[in-house]
Amino acid sequence: MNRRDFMRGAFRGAGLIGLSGVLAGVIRRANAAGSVWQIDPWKCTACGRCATECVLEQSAAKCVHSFDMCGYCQLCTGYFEPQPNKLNTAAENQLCPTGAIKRQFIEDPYYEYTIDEPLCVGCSKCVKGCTMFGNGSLHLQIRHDRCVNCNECSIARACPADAIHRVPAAQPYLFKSREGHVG
Amino acid sequence: MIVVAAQRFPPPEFSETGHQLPGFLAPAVRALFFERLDVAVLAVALALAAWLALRQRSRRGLVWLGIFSVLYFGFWRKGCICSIGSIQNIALALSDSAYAIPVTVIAFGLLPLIVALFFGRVFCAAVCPHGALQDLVLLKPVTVPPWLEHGLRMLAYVYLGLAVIFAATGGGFIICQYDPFVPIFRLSGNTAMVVTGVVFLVAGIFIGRPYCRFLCPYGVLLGLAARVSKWRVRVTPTTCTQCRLCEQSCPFNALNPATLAGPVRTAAATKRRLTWLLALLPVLVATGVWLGGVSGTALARNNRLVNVAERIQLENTGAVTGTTDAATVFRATGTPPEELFTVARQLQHRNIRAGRWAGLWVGLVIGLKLLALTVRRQRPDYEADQTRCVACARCYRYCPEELKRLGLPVPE
Amino acid sequence: MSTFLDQLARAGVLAAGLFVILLAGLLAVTAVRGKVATLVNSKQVVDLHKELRTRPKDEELKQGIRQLDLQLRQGTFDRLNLAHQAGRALIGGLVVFLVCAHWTRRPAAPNPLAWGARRPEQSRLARYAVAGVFGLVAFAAVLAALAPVRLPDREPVAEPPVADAEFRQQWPAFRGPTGAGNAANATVALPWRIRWKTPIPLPGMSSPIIWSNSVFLTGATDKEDRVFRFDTETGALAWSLTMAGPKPPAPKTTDDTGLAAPTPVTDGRRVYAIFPDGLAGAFDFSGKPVWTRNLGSLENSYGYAASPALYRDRLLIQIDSGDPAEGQSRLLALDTRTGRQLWEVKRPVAGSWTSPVVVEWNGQAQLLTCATPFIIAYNPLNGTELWRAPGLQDDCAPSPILAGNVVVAVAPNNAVIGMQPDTTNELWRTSEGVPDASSPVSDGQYIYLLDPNGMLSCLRQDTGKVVWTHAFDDHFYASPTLAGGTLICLSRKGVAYQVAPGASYREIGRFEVGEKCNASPVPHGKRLFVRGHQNLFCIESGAQ
Repeated sequence: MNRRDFMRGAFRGAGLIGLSGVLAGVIRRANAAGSVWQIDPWKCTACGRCATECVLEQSAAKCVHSFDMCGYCQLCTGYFEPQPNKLNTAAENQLCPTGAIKRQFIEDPYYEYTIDEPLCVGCSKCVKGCTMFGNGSLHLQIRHDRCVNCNECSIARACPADAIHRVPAAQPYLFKSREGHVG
Repeated sequence: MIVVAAQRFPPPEFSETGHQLPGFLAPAVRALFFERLDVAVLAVALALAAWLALRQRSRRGLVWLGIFSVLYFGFWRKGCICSIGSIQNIALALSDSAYAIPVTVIAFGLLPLIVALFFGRVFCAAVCPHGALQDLVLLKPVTVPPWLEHGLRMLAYVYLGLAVIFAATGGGFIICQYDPFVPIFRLSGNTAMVVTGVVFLVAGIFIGRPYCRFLCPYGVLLGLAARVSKWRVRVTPTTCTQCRLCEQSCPFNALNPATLAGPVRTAAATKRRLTWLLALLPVLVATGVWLGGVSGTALARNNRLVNVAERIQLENTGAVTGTTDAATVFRATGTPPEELFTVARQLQHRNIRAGRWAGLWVGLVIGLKLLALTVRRQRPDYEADQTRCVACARCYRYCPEELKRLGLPVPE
Repeated sequence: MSTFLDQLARAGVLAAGLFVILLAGLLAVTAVRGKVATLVNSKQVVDLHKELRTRPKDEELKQGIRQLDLQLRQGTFDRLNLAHQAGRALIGGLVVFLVCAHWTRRPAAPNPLAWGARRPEQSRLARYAVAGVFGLVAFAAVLAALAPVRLPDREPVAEPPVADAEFRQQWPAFRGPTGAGNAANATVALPWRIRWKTPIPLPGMSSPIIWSNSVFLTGATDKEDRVFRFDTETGALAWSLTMAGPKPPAPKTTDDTGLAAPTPVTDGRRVYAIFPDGLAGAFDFSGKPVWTRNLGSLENSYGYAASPALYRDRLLIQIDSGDPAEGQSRLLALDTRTGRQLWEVKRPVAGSWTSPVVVEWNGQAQLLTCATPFIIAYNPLNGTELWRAPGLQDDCAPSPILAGNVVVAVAPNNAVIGMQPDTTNELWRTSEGVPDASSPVSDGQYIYLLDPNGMLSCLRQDTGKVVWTHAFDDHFYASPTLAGGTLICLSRKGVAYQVAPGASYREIGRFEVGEKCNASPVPHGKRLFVRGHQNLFCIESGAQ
């Protein structure tokens, strides 16, 4: 083995040691199970950036409804715009720009509000209305059948309330409930 | 934190209909098995690439492997998770004990480097989806003059330095933010990124592998590892006859010709220059450190908290009118701005320190490069440049020795 | 010789290339239209909705809105579908293009004889290029370094918040430290005597506020607005200062309200005052003006009277006027150190003369406000509405209190309402003894109210049932105040009736201040401070 090969071998060894050092440095805090992005609905301020900042054309963040928290009100402040002309499903009365919330009469005076997922774009107008004047049962969550799990979430980067963080993949959702968070 | 009285309206009582509250499905996350599968595919692809490039010496094999990588790592996995970005995750994991780096990311970061230590940059050849994509669209290569090549390559070193310090100081992942090919793999993204991707793709038709050669920060690390690899790409399967047939075969300027016989600069002149450059090296390093330090405050603006703090200060002093959402949220917490300023100042200091390290790195690299360009090494044969060769196997077919080995007719 | 495949490949290159370019163009064009942002943030929709509120019966407008809505939605979802499919078609076209292009490409056989001499290594140029890159990086770094530093240089001294315990010892606001109108640790034992009386330079209806050994008052004429500081021991006027800044024109008010009705408020560092002409400002205790702001017109039919409230570093100002539909009523928060506006929210209420009150409920601070038709509670940090309850009507002037678990609000001449906080649950309601100007006070068990005819009512806090009433032959504007174990009702004639709180009426004494009084009395320590029309009185226990 000539000198050059020896030097190469030595540097290679040093490189391997270096890489092992890096491995040792990070493996202790490594997460075997993986993590995904999720919105903390108690921190969310319903600013509307979830709809426009996602790298996907139709955002992976969508509204979900915690029915156990809902008041089933006739005048739902998440469904109707602040001063609705009439309490019906006409476009001028609805808050949702895509008509993704469906209103159904159950019994007097209760109405049920469900979200049509493919139509929701995650604009959070309903979330704002529901949280400010209602029970706060409508909230945004990142759907993991759509989310691509980017290394750095662009919505998280833009969120003014710093409400989006990584959560363990085993508990990928932070739904709201009457008691607080439900994984 | 915005705490609101949650239950303004009491829960309904469905006395007439006995209506049951509907449940809702929470779509599951991608199973862990698939994450592990990615690592397995990566390992197999690396092994295959090494075998194809060095043993089989088959360009066709590499092309097919490249197509597979573009399809699997590119369009199927949408280009994320990727080895290039893993540098940032590792940098963050080393500097922030609260960050739990996924094991998959460590594998994606370290495996190609370990392979490079032994087999060279076979990862770049056909496993990296970015590289494979650029390789596949290369139709009419335009030669970049070597001096320009040397200069532009330095940008990759600078990018590496910046990416590491941004990631380590919590300022974000700039490699991910400015990756030109991921919008193409995802088929979506904001306008600026899609346009950049298209520009790179179109440029790649004429300029071979522009991202790999001039920007890829991971390529810097791979190049350093490949420099000392055990087995390397050899243009000729046996010996070099200096027939010059392979001279213009490499579209990436990674083939070093045998050194010219003929008038060479006097040894004295070279020694003088070497001495000057050696003396310049510490000056460059010191300059780099100083530059990094002074730009640290601006670098800190990549950090969310620093941004909010600056905004609050601007608003408080009346320098701007109106407010931003982030500032509103901060004020709603009731935290006195002084606390925010203290944290922001700490982050700024951190960025100044990190900037100094990045400056040191850049100064060092530039200084060493200048020295390397002065040292003239005698090369008897045509060889692939170990740092820059991406093992694409284009040059093999040009070598008459190779054609002989394959039993193909040798041109006159 | 070109084979059929060659010709096909060449055609493929052209066709696929064209296809890719056209499709990319199409995608680019649709990318401009139909963006999600356009759908969600459409200004046109907002404007049309506003218009509809002014003309709710306009059918054509409704149709217009529906059309626009359909258009926007279709645009967005069409684009989403197109992007989805076209993207794939684009990649397919690209693949075809590449395959054909690679097929047609025939790398020429290398002919080194035609290349001429070998290219020199260009090391020198390369060195210049490398140095050039370093220069570029250095330039960028210097540019970055020149960007202005925006954070304050020195470590500014943070103002620590005033300790709650200290706050509660004072009487720093209109209805005392807790907004409830009672001072638990003040006792003014009977008999009373006047310790000192000092003339107040300018008239006003605002009540005094006390912090340690200072009493603050405001007074105004149509030419000037002033804040006064008196010493509690001697009654000496420490300073009498005009509000800084140009004085806005005085609004029209009634004599009963005057030009200095809002009571100032203090946090122990600065005293904050607001006047009906719109001037709001802060002085530190030494008399130096810290900031002044003009809030614009505070026009209000009887004259602006709401006293500001204080929460941490926020000064909360309630400005209610006009009709709810006019949307003029608002609540705003100013930074106490600089006067900068932190937030403002609109209130869907009519004009009112109540003052907002900060209370603590369930570990959370709430700002209670009353005006027709809603009692609304806000988060004082950011102005978000926490809850609201309907039930108020006419001209609201009595301020609400939190008595135990009950929010007590008064709909003048109509009812006294006991609400459960956080909900719209009305716990009780009574229509006897309803005040029209003075605010209620609670001792923890009973609530005391003074109605316009001079009747003092005692209600149970939990049920609202009237336990007893007593008719004074007198008239009252001042709110009843609890000082230690004594309930003080100060009449407009200047007679302070001292009543023992409890399950039955028991008068323990009377005291003649000697002057007409409108403002509410302020107990502090062993003294009581009363603002008469001309003088400020300090009353203390005459017992030896």
